[in-house]
Amino acid sequence: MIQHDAMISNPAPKNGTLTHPYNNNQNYFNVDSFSRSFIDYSIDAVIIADLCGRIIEFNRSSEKLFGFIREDCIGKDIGDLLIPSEYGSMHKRGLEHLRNQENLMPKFLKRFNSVAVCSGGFHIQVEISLFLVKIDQEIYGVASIRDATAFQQLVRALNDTLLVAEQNTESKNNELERIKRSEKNATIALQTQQTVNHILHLSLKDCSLQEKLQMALDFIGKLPWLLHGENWLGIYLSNKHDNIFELLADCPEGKFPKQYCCEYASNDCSLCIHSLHTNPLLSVFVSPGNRFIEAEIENKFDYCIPLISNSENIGIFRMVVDETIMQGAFHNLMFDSIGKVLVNLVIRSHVDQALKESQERAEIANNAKSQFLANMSHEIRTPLNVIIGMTDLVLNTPLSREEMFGNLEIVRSSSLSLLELINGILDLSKIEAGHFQLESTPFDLLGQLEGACEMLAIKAHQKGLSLYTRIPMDLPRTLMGDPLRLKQIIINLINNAIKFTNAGEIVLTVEHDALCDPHNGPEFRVRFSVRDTGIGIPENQQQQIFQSFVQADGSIARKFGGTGLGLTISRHLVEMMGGKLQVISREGHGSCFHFSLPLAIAKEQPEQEPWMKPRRSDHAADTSAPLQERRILLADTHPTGGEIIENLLCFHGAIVTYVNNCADLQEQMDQNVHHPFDLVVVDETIKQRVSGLEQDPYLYYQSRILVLVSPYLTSKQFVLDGLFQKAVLIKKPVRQFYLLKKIQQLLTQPTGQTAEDPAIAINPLLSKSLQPLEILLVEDLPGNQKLAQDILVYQGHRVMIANNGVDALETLKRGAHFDLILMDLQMPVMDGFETTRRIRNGDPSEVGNPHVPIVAVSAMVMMNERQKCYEIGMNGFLLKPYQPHELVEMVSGFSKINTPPVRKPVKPVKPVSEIVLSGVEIDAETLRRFRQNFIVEAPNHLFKLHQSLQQTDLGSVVLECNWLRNMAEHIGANRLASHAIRLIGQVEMDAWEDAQSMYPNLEQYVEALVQHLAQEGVA
Amino acid sequence: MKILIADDELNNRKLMRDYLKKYAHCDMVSDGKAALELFTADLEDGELYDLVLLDIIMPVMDGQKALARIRATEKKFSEGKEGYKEIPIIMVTGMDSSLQAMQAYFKGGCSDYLTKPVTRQALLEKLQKFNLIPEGAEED
Repeated sequence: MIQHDAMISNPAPKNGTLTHPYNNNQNYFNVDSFSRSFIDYSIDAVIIADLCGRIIEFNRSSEKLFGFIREDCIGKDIGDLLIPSEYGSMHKRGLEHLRNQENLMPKFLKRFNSVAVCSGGFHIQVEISLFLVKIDQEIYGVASIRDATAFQQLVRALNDTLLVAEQNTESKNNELERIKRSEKNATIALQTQQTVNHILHLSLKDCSLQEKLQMALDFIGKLPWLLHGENWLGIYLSNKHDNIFELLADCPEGKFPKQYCCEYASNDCSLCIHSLHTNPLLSVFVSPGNRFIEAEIENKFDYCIPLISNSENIGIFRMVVDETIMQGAFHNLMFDSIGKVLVNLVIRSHVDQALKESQERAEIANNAKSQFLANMSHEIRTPLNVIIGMTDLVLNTPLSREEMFGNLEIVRSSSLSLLELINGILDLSKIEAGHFQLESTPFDLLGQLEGACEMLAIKAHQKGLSLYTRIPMDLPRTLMGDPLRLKQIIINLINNAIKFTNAGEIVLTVEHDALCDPHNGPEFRVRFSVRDTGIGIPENQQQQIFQSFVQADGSIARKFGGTGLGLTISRHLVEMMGGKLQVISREGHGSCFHFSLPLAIAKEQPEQEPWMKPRRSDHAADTSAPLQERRILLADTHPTGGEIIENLLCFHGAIVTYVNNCADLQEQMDQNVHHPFDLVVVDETIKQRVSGLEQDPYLYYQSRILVLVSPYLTSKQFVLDGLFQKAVLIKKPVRQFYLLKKIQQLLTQPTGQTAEDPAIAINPLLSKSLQPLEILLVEDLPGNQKLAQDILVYQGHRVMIANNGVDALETLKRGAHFDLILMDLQMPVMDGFETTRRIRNGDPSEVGNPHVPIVAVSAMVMMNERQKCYEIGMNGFLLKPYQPHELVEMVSGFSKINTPPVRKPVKPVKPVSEIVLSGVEIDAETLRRFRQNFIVEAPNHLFKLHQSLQQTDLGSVVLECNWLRNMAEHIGANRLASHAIRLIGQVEMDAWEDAQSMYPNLEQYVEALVQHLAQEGVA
Repeated sequence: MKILIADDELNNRKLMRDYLKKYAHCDMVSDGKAALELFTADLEDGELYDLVLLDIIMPVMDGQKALARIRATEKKFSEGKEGYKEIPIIMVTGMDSSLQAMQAYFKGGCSDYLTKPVTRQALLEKLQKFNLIPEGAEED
């Protein structure tokens, strides 16, 4: 029995009629004829076996199928004969299972495919139907077996065919898919291409790069393969200055503030990925080798595309891509093309910008050329105007010799300034053409600078300005460079400073450049600066003034930099010398032009200027020792000037006591009367602030005195008002070594003697042709007595002193003869007026000669005072404090001829118009202070102004007028300002007579104003 | 006759003064601000100038600005005063006498202009034009 499985299917019993095989015949067991026939002639192999596996029947078809002979098979075990060994155990288990079943009934067991063994050991595929039959009360197994090999092969072939067919279908489908994808990609490519075209067109637009980029992103934003969301697009460009990337454009209608800076980006990274931040911080960067980096965040692909131009990363384009649309390597191509067109846009825009700028520059240069010509025209016409006009006047109008000379002098000075201008223009064109050569020669820096300042000091003084030089003593003396050009620069700067400063000071400062150690090598830097207290330059025009002559509006130059030519040349010269001319300025407060030059320390000595020559011997003798431990009292009202002198003296070891007003000066001298200073250095300005100081305190004080005077001093004004008569004078600005030399001379002289130098000592003013006079000096103050006596006696006159009018009358009564009486007007007991009246009206026996010339000496400046003197018969009037030469001249007049000097009639004084004060924009307290200040100081200034007018000292007049003008502005007295302006206008013309005739009006106005203010103050 | 001369160049002021001193008293200033101050003061005092010569390029306040301010002052002053006649102001230019520039000055209220170099003849002709001196006055 062939059986694979012990499991028995649901029985499909076939009631067999088969009989027990062993009953009759050994070969043919006993079954009914039908069954017999069926078994014998069945096409299928039929094998019957008992439940132990012994074969009972093996039909013909079986013989055919398996190749065994029936007789050989009967009784054999089916398992051994037909079943392959691998199924053997399963077969046995099946049989055992059947045997163990009780009440086993005939039934269908199963139908299955299996393998059987044929004779010769071949295996064949078989299909088996297995069932149980009952023969003679015994249960047998029947197997109907069919050869299945061919069928199996057919099925296999069929299956193979099917498989091939399936595979074919699949490949067709893939092909279709590919075509579809290509179509999609082509569409994307087309859309991208269109976008690229649009962006290309943007290059032509005339708008800013940022606008262009935003328009580009607006186009890109329409591409279908982008995922819209928050901040899904952006272009960041590298910022050239600090290497960070700035957001220049973002998604259409993006809410980002443009110019958003990407914090982490740097120029050497090319890529970045948008992190999960809500802000599009580009936080991940990789090396430029990786072209694209993508980050998948919940199906969002965030791409950062580097914008690379000439292998330099100029920025980043980032976008969020929808990967369901955009797939595969294809997108890199798209991204690349967009990236490239954006780069093109940026670069093109930069190029356009550069082009535009260069066009603008060309235009500016062109304008500058016209401007240059216009400026030239103006600058050349200005002196020409004067030259032509003045020669015209000389040729065509009747002029006095003096007027003619005056005009020709003007022509000459204008010609010179024209020449200077032309030289300047030539210099400038040489510099600009690169043909300008600088010298390099050893030179004396200090000498050059002080020389330059000396030249300009007079000019400064004429504007009422102080010019100071602050040069450190320890600066190396001899340097290598171009002294002429350096001087030219300094002169240019100081000239400008003078031109644009109306009041105050100009200081030239030279110092070691702080950054360089002078002892650190042969070359070091020297810093030069010229500071003024002028009108200043607005910040937006500070740079223009250096090129104003060639490029900018000439009016800027006129306002702040002269012609502008000087500054332009200076700027070039400084640059050629290795520095940079710069300006610091505050409008209304002044300017400071400064530069720093590298200057080598020279080995050879320069040729000494004449004034320096004595210095060598001084130096050998020793420059500083005489000042060592010397006590010097320094009095200067001007803080800058005082400080400079103080530093200089201290540098040389002197012990300096510094005072800044006359009262302190007096106090110091009084305090130290028993231990006098070795030297007193006084600036002439110390006196300007004080009035009524008629006493010369220095006559009793045996200090040596040195007075610093303004450079305007002419030969007739060597001594200051008699107050410092035994002083040595030094002109400002002070030359360091000259001052030291003078001090040395003074200190080595015996006390009480004046210096020998005729240029700086009091001149013996007496002319030998003049007769010595007998003079009665009526004066109550001992100081003044002594002063006048000293001066007059020095001149060879004889002087007798009376302390007051009564004293004088008594002296006359005693019969003393006098050629001249000098009469102080204010005296105790009997004043000058009364005394004069008594002399004029007196009896000759009482007063001697009643017609004796009498000269009034008074500190009173009121005009009517003077008038009164003449009215009562005085012959002259001398204003105190007087200068010795004034006294000498006045007295000399009576030595030759006995007639009083002819006085010009004073022009009628215009009545003072009503005092009107206009509003001033300052607080009441400040205004009150200003007015108070004016009340107190105006008389002093008025006095000084009057004196300066008489002395025709232009600088002082301008200074005083400017004081009045400034105060007028502060207190709102407009009319006063106009008086002062008019006066300045005249004195500048040298029209002294006109100016003097204007003075009484001004004086009257000021007096009325003071009175008005004083009353107002009381009220 | 009273003339106000504003020019930042001293020599130019001298020249103008010399041209004019035979005919007028001259006040001289070196910038527009001072010119304005003098003009205003004299206007208020009722001692009007007969003529003002304004250089254009000057420090502190240039000619054009001074011109505008002077005219504004005059306007304010002459309000309600009938018969007030504007004082002639002549701009003196050394740079640009182009039509365009001059139009700006005329618009600003200047009465006439002179180009540097200014000859005596030219200046006196202007004086005649404004009836400040009689015809042929320069001959003597």
